Amino acid sequence: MSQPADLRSRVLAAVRQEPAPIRAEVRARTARLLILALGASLAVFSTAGGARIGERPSSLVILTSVGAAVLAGIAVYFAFTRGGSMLGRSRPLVGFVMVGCALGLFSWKYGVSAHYRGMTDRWPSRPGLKCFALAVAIGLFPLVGALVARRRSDALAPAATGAAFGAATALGAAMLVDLWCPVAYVPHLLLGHLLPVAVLSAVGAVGGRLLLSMRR
Amino acid sequence: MDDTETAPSDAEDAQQALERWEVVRSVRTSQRSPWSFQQTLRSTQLESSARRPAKLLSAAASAEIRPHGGLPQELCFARPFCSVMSTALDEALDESGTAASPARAPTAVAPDRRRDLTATDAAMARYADGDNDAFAAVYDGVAPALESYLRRRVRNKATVDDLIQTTFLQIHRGRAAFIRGAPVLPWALVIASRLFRAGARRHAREIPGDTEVAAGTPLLVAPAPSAEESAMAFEVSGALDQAFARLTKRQRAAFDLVKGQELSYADAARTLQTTVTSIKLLLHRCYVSLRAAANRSDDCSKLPLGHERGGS
Repeated sequence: MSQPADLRSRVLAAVRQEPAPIRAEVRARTARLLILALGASLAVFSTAGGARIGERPSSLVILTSVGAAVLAGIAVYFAFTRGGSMLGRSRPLVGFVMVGCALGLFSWKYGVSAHYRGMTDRWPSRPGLKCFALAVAIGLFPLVGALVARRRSDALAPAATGAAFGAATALGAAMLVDLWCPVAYVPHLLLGHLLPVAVLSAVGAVGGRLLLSMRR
Repeated sequence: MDDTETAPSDAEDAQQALERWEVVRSVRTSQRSPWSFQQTLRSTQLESSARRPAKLLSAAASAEIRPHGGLPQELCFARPFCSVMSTALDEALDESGTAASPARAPTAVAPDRRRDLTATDAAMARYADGDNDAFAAVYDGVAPALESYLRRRVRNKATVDDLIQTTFLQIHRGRAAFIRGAPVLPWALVIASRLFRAGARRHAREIPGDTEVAAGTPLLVAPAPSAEESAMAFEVSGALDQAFARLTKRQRAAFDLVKGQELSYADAARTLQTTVTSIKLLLHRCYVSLRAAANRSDDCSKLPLGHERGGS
């Protein structure tokens, strides 16, 4: 049976032998990853055609984009900050915020568009698959970047944290997709704008379980 | 560091228990109902025995018969509450972290202890910034609480040491993620708890006691008893202790020689300067008394009492 003094010296020796990055190094690495991921997302968005105003009134575009940006900002804040605790924010609170932001995005987009003539009409040729693919492609890079940047840092609920990351990045992607997509038809919104949030949340949960957990 | 400085004494354990109780009381009386207490335990899965109130009570009872209760004699009345205190402290610490109010739990702790925790948090912040010498202060601040926490869950000292070392290695690896001003102790406890659970899942059941088992040796020990079984065994053993005390001196001596020292009837008879028949008679009366006491205390028909050995 080892004695406490032995244990202390053993732990200190083990820690000395294993190099671990300090805060400044990780911060620089995180910044690099963030720039890279956002650059990749913007490249995907540009490749898809970038912002397409089309026949939409500019006031509609501004209103929906600002609303989406606010909701994405709230989601990103709650997903990526930990509220001054190493154990993170309350999971029910974060989950509530993510679901609320996703539903808010849908409601805002549909509610604002409904005030403009013909903006919520049925659009058979645009079921939402392109929007879905674009949102997932845009959101995937920041999600992977966030998971890599925060790897092995969550002791409590890595899957839940990863799911929050996924939802937040999907909502950020939805902001860009909103600039690109003029359709506010309900099935289209559900498939193309809301489903990516669920899909990226699931991807984030799996990725979080694999990457974020502090495994032995 | 001297062993006597780091080994947790009974008085320290008692002081910690009282501090923990202060934390629990402040949390429970301020805003938590017993049922939300249960709910939190269930949701955080920090204490599997808290799934039902009866389980919680049984866990409290089993805490009393745990060999390393650690409380001094004058505080023995507090032993049954140790498990409840422990789980409630888990809740308090978990709340302090997940509810983004890290200062809530330590507020009820003694001022000296709070100062120590603040100093430890500051040391951890320095360590995260690259001051490697600060890790010793982090260790000194966190290790006693960590050991106390783990010793209530794991009886094997080597396993406790292993978990403590791994926990500190995890803290070391994740130091860059440390938030300046955040409390380090809840983080460390959660890491330790997760490591313990992961280890428990791997091994399914812990080997009771400080048993050293070589790698690859098949385990021939019985599975660890449940909290209910432990509580029942405690009750029966108390009744048996009382019945044993009521036996005559010669009956106790005969029982001790044959059952305790494992002497044969003949050797026991020689030792007590009597006959083998007399030894058998003394033992028979012992068994009758003990069996009656056990039957009175509870349904203990399963207990293997008093099977007379064949003498030689």
